[in-house]
Amino acid sequence: MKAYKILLLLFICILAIPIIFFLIPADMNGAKEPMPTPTVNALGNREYQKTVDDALADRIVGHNTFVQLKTWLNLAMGQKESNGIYIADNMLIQKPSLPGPEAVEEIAGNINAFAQTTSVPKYVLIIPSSAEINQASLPTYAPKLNELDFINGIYARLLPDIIRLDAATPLSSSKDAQVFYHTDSQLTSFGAFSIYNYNIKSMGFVPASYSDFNIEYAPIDYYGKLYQQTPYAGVKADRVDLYHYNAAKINTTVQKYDGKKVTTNNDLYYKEYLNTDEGVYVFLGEPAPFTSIKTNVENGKRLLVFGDENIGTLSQFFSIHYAQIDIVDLPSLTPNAARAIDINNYDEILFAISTNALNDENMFENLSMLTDKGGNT
Amino acid sequence: MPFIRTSFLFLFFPLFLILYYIVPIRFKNLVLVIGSLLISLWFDPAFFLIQLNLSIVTYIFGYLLSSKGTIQRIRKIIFISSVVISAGTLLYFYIGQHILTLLETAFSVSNTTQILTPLGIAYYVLSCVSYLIDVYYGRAQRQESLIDYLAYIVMFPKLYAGPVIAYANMSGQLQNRKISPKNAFAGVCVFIRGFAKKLLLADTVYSLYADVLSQGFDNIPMATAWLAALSFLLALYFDFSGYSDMAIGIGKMLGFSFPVNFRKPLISKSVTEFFTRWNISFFHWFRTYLHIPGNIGRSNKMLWIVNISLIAVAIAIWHGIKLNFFLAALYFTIIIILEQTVLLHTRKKCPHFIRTIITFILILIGSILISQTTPLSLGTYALALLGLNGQPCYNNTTLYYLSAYIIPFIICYLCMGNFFYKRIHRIKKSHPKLYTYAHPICLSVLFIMSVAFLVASPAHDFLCIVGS
Repeated sequence: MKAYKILLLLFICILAIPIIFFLIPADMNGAKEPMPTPTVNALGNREYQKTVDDALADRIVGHNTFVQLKTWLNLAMGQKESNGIYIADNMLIQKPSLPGPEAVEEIAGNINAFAQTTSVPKYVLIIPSSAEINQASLPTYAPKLNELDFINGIYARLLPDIIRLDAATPLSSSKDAQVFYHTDSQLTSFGAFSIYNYNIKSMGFVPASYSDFNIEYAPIDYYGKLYQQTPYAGVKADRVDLYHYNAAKINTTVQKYDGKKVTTNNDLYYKEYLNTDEGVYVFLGEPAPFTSIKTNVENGKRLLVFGDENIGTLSQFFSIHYAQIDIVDLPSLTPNAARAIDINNYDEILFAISTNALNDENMFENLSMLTDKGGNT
Repeated sequence: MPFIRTSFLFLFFPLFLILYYIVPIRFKNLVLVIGSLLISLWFDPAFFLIQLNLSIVTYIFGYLLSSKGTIQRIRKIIFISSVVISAGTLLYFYIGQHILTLLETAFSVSNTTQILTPLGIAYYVLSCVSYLIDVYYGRAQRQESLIDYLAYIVMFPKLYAGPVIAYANMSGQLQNRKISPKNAFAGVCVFIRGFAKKLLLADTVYSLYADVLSQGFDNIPMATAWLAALSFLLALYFDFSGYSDMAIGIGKMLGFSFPVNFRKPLISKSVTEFFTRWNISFFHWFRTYLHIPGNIGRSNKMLWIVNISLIAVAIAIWHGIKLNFFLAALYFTIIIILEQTVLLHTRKKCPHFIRTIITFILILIGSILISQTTPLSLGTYALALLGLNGQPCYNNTTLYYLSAYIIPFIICYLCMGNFFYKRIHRIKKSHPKLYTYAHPICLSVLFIMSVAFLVASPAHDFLCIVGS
């Protein structure tokens, strides 16, 4: 009987120990998010409950060990994926998904509708995912989606005056040199350079060559968001690298509007992130609805970009050629930010979006904020 | 479902258990009631209000039914009214939204009001109706203590997914139950087993079905369609039986003895036998409370057929006013009737393993009917299953699923039968000392693995949400 009492007590203690860790503030226990604030309206709100459960799970003692254990157990059971991420040879690959065939018409339709509101030259660059480029690394028999057909389907439906840029060809030909991170779904700097080098001629510029750059490496390994979800021990760590253009002295400032305030950085890179777990934020900092890069490039050309997470690495190269690059994150664009943008004040407009981002059916919903009033201030 | 929530498992549950074990026995039901109502308030405040209202109304009806001064005719009216109110509450949530939509269409009125079915309402209404019936027919005394009565009606272990326990079978335990460390630890063992079934098995195999579902059934080969069907059935079984085990385990920890709810149903030798092994308490409740009075043994075949048909319809309505539940009810009813009439002698001549395989296939087809909620999706899925959708028999994706899920399927196969049970039982008999030490260690490993799955992907839902 005593043994049963001890075991029962042990069980209750094991369940109760995490409570101590729930009380510790987020920054002290390594948790990523603060605990959600309880309100009366939150009662019965399934989304709020999920947020609480996620926050508590994040604070469970040994959280990272548990996540690693789950990954290991999935692999032991013969699974080739965990949490929607393929565990390939030495890299993690986000499981691809494409919107349905009707989305091809809709995406092209949205871009065409926008294109008709301005005579500014327009470019579209749809970037295939790591799953498409690294198909050979996917687990055996893993379903393969034909992203190239999807991209070509959109391109075929765009208006003739919109210039299509090709990301798939340079990425495929350079894939052996790591164009995507092993632990993140974003382009590496080399992947971004490959795309830039192949396409900048179509935008009327002479591409800078690889030798025109000094490469600075982050001092620590980078384990991206895929690794945070599926910490597979066999994956090769990444190293964030910065491409500094050395053929000319280009001074750059970056201004970001996060929806509430404007911040300024006197460099293209946010180097304070190089020593952190979020190394990729070195490129233009954390995501924001509106980012403006200003340089001392003498041509005075202004580029408006509708981009996603990959625009950070791409900006290293495009900023060599433009006096100003304004980057809009369409899904998070606010009316306030939209009011400050006049699409006719730019020399060129570029859509630089990955196939993953096109799964968001609201991707182009906010485009109308820029065109309804003609985008005038 | 609360058991598989981090907030329940690592916040509410340990605090509740500590308080429950500390308080004197006369306050344990009060702690149980408060804890259960807090869970309802947290997960669904609307349901909390309905629970309180209906509980009190049912309590009052129970008082009126057992009042010595009430004449029989009035008793009957009170009884019928009380059951109608309880059942009507459930029907309101099931068909209220449809009626609202029809009225809006008929009168061209735009309205954003939505009637959402509260979680647990279906099981909760069964408890209320059981209380009323048992008190009316004198199978049990009404609960004089409101707290003891509420402890039966709202107790959280059985509220969301059963087991369904008749009031007559619980009434004695409300005031006279023994909480012993041995039983409580036995409850921990059962809880961990259910926890592992849900997280390690059910959620793992369900991801195959979810993946196929996201692709749509019109483009999948036949073999993939059958793999998806198999994964759905296994996920449903381990999910449901996992939750039952957790409920039974928590009940034991609190001193209650809940009946076993699943007895290896997937190795049944007939569909009739399947329904004596699957969600046992639930079907037993309907057979107990919905039988036609009189001698309806097998000798009176027509009455028997009418009886099981009525029960099937009632069960389909209880699950939700949806075509898939009615189709499944019709399908299983026909098979049971055939098994007990035309095929009765033929079945007995068939070897056991053949009967088991045939039964499994029949159950698999029935689960397909349950899984598709619209005629269109059912039709599309049926075409895929029969290989009539223009797709090949199998493709690379089929091979991918096979290679990725073969081990989980094998583990599920071993767990759905007696493979582990026999071996564990043998070790317990032959090496009791080894068993004494190994058992808690194995349970701990199982618990840690399950927590790993929970923490890595929190907030899993019950796969077969009734009424939704």
